[in-house]
Amino acid sequence: MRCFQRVLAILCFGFTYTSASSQNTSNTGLLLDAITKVPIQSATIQIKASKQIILSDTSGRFVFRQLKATDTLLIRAEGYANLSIPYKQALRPIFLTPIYGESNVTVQTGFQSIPRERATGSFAILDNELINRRVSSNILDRLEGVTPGVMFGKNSGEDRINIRGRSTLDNANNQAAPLIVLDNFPYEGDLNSINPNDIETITVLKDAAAASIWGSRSANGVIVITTKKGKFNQPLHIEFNQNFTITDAPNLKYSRNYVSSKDYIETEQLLFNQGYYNTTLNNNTTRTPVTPVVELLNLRRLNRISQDELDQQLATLSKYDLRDQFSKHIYRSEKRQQYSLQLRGGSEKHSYIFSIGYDKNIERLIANQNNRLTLQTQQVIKITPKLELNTSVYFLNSINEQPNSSFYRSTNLNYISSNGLYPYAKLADEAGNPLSTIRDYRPNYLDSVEALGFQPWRYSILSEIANTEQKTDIRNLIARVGLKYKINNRFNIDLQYQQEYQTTQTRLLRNAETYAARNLVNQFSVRNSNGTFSYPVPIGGILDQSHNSMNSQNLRGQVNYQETINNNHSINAIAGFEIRQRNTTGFSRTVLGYDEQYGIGRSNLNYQNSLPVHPFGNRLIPASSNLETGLINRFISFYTNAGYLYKRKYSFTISARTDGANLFGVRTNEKIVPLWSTGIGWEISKESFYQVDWMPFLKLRGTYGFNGNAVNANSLLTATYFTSGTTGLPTAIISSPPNPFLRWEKVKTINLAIDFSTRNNRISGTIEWYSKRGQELLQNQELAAYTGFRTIRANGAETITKGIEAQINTKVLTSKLKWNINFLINTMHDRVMIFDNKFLPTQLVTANGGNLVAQVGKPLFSIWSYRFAGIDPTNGDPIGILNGEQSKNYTGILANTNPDSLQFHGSARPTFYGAIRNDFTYKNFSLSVNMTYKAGYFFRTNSIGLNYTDIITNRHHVDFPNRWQKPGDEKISSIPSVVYPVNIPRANFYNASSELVERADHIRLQDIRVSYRLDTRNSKITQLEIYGYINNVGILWKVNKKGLDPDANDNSFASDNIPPMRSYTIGLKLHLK
Amino acid sequence: MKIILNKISKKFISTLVICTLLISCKKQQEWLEIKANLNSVTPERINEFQALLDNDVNFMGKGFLTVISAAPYYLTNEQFNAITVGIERNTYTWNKQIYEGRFSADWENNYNTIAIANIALEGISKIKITPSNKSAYNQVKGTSHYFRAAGYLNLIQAFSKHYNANTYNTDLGVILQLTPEFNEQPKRATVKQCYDQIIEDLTIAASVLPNLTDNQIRPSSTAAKALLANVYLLLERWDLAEKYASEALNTYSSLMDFNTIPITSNFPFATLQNKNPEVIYYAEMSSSSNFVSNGSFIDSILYQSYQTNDLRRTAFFRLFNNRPIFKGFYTGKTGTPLGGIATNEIYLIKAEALARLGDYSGAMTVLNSLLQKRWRSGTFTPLTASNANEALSKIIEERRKELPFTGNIAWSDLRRLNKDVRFARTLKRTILNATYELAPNSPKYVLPIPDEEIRLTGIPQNIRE
Repeated sequence: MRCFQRVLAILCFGFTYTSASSQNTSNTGLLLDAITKVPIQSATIQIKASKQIILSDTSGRFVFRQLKATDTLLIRAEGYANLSIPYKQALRPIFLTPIYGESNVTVQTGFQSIPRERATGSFAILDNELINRRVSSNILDRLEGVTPGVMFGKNSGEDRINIRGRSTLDNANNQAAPLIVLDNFPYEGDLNSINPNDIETITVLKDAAAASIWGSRSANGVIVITTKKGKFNQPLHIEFNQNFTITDAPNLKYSRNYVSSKDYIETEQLLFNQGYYNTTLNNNTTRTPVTPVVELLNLRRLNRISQDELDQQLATLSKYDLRDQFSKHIYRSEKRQQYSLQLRGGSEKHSYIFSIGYDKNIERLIANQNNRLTLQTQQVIKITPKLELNTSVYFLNSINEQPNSSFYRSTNLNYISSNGLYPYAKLADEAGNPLSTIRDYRPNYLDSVEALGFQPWRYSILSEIANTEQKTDIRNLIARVGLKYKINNRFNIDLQYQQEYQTTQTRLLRNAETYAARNLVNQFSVRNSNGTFSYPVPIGGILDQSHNSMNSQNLRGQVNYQETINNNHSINAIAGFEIRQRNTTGFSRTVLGYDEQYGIGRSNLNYQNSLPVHPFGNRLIPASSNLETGLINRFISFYTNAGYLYKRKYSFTISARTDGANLFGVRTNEKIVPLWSTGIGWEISKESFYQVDWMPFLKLRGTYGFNGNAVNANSLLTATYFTSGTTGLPTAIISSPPNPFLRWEKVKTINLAIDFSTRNNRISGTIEWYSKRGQELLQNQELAAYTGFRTIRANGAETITKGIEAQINTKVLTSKLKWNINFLINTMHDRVMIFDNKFLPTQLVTANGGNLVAQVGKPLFSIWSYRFAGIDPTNGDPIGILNGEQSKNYTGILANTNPDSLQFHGSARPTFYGAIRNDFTYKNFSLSVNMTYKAGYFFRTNSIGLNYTDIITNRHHVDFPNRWQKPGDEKISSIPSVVYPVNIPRANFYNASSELVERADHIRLQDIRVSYRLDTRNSKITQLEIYGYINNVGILWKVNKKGLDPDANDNSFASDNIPPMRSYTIGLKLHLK
Repeated sequence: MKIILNKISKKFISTLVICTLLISCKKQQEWLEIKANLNSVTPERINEFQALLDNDVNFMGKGFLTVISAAPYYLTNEQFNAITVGIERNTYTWNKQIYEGRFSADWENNYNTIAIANIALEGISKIKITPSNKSAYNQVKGTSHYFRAAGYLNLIQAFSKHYNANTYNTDLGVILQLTPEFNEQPKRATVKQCYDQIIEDLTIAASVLPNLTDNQIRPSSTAAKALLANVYLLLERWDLAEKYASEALNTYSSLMDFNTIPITSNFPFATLQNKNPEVIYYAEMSSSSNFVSNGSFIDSILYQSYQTNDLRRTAFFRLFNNRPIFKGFYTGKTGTPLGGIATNEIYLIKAEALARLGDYSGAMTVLNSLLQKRWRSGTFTPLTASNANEALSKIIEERRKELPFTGNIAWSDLRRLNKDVRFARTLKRTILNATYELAPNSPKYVLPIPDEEIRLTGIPQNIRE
């Protein structure tokens, strides 16, 4: 609340100030783009007679003094034709005409803003229009399908976002994630906290020259997000955006992890007859449950029910389908609403922006929802003509309520720890009343103890959701203050300070009615001889709370230098330092016997002694961990960056940075290893010998340099403290054996590029080639176990990634009907060059796109398999290859330690991907259709486990009815027979065999956007747009014959990895003056 | 113009100077030296080494393979078929290869504790002993030596040949790692070198540790002496076995009277938290539900050998369909054999050593003092023997009845007693109509070293044929 007050105070201050400021533009000139009417900054205005030079500011304005009426001004600006005008005309706005191939686009590096033409590095820029093309509540989603070189991972375990592949072998702590920079400073909070409506541009820094200014954190690329700003001398401008999105409810029938109730029941009958359940049915200790069908079969065996009765009941159960139950009671269609309002403007000495955003989302799991409120304001005040003060505040509050974690095939629905929910379970009766499903104990045991007076001990998924409260409350406050002092036309000093504060509070209350609470109470309850009960774990709810806070402070001091000498030499340089500290603290606690009516729990429980529990065993009452966590990361960096442009044709850039951190220990910081880069650019089309009329713009660029990657590891022997739950003693466990030689990971990058444009920009674009060599990468070097450790973190691995990126825009039609096509083409080939950790074949053949099992000479993520040689026509056994010959010696195949014996398919991540976007405009209508494609990679699919026990535990799979059952079946399908007793090597062989690997290439119609702009010529409305947007339209083509979407690969059996459902959005955009 | 420029460059320079001063090199280093994680520590102080030694990993999961190989239990076909871990099935049927490409926790866990002991020993060697820190210092020192000895003893029971006076000077033991620095090319020490090291470590532990500790997971001097008695029993040094068993019993000899414990309960014995009074030092073997499920029954001959008034019959076993199933784990946890040391074992060591030394009446007195606590009150008739051989037979039989599911005992007893034709036994297990046999002195009494360890170190594998 206090945060909110602070925000309000600053807002009020802002508005008062605005109204108070006065207008005085008498001797000010204004430069505008002749076409876009956008102000032109950093233009040089020279007074011919006196040689005096003035620069235009960010709002395109310049101030001149001591002018004579006869003076003439010579105006030069990057990308514009030079203009010479008399002084008198300069009092009106001056329009400059842009030159082909050049524009007013600037790249934001987070340290400076450079005109596109001066930059030599690889940048991808998303302007406001492209950012708003897509509808999403997460800002990063808007990069997808429109940004060259950026790959999104969709399956669990895959990197969510990758810029030009991956140059680290470390999977811990989001090591491969790019650095996110929000308004000049690294953003440490939750990415879902950024309201996309507040964002003006996104710049992706991809190569060394672009990113090395970020030094030890830049190896994975940098995403620079810049928010909208107010502008000086701009009247109040109001923007309002609203949209509503509805997403289809998930189609559970897509999942192949399914076996019909009928097949499941038949399997249970088969196993029952083999005696598989005898041990469990005879279990009078832990009372492990069996499914309702096995109970029925047992009743029949004990002659308590007739065969007719059994058949009838089984026939009824066979008709149930759990997927229908989930679709009806657990899932729904998702609804998202988004509102945002923005006010911005400025007087001569003050500019401001204020925005408010609100999102309300109803999630696809029933009972789950989230809300987000964002407030932002930024004020720039010119205290004196030379001194500018900049303040901004960003506040967020998001509340997620997620009591429902019971997604389809979730492991917490398992009826015993290893057995998934049986497919004939019913969650509710016809009237919608919750029904209980089997869980943890056999019903006859529960009947007997409930009769004795124990608490009700049944489990119902629906009432569990209804009685659970789960809430995550995130508050984020970023406050920033900056001073910019202009020493003269060449130098200015910039000092910026940012404080970011984020708290995350979670609360999970499972009230006294939940199974979780009742189960704990019942387990420990003691029935006294007189029939009364005492409760070592008191009756009541279980309350779990956690509180985490993050505070990051940044201080940056920077000197900027800019000079143009006699029009041929232009220099642009910065140097500065940066200090950062990030501090996170947190604690969590659990209260038992919680009474939500009065907010009290019980604390005086017997946590010391192990107590007898029902039905069997003894254990300690689970105690709350009394641990406070704290992390401090500190960084100090010095950096410099310089660009030199000669005759507007040749550009040269250089950048260097050193970093220190408290991550590694002293030794690393003592050795200063600067990360640096350099680049050159040559605009051939400006040479006099260049005579290619049809291509008036052609530029070559090349860069070379190093990026770093800060790894969280320690060079010293490190132990982590915690309190033992068994002994209650403070204990420490060694988290890493010492390695005094740890240092940053480094990536050497080369980037070569061509920028071109044909006449009238009919075809324009950029083609880039890059090579990234990851050096001194951290790896978990394998240790022999006699050392006491299995692995040690050490530098030494190397990778190489090469690729081509092309972004080509073509204007197909330019008449009334405009048609543009935008092609994104990326190739990415990576290889492991040095890697000491040898993965076993058993590990290689189980990895998919989410598991890094590097192998020298192969892609970082690869698909391997056992060679499959069909199935034995006599009994349906799968046949493999051992020592070059067909073999059914599965143990031998599995024990073979030589990876060469395996089949190598290829990369598990796309090596060729991109998008084709068609934009049509006719009068006020526009239509945009984006298709994306991924190719050149493989994925591992699922099938049944080959044991009947697998079918009833967790490997439900649609392949089951098509398995080999009798001779001749081998001609129809290659799914082997299923057996009992258990033969694990046989099943492991098949599930990792080449038979189950598929090519993943596919083309997807990602989205369609239609919009209509209303005519607003004679009103205060400057823009009114109504749009419709359909996302995840569908997959157009896929190479695999199983009909699988490789971006929704349900490799894990406990997932509801269903393809993202189609969503429909309607929205409104309104701009007012 | 120049003046302005001068002014500006002065300002500029002074700003730079201030910035540089702010973050001068030394300050910068100091500022960066803060530890990154509140809960992390680079161990330097005595209590930090104690915290490392107190960690649960040091007393849990000390062994699995020897128990599966030797404990007197049999699995039904259904139970065997339902086992999903290949190592467990392969070990149960004494296969030549057992790991199926996986790692062995037996090997790994013991070496992990040895590494922690080595780190603690090196760490405290840099600390000066003062009167105020002496007892804490000795606790760390003694515990480290004890852990190292216990670790190597577990390892050579599983992965090396049993002691043989003629060959143990050349028989391969395990890798002896005694410092935190790793050897580039490790070698397997001889069995003798391993035993010498174990004895040296235990002797130091016995000399510096207090007689008793208040937490059973912390070893005491009594525990060190008890383990020495065990070691000397394996080395057939009966005099020393008797000496250390007596010394251990002099400081702690408590036995439970089975008449006073809830023998009919599913858990007749107290857990670590509730303190089993016979436990001198608490550690656990790895647990398995296959030791205790209804498809896992106990050798019926063994079960029949408990007489009706022998309370162990009720305390150790429960009946399911008239088949006995073991429940009498001294850890008080289901399916988890004790991997530490308890007084009942020391009584038996002392008795056996006395019998081997010829003092058969003394031996019977010691045995009877244990057994009378195991029988129903008023029904126990002390056992007698008329010569040392008779005494020894009775003691060996009681040893099987008292410690059927404790630590490596079933396994190492088979290894040592198979050498004596009077006590040699052939183990048989039948599963799915196939019968598996483990003949006395078979090379399969030495378990294979994990394949991965062989690959990474190049040390020779054990020959199991």
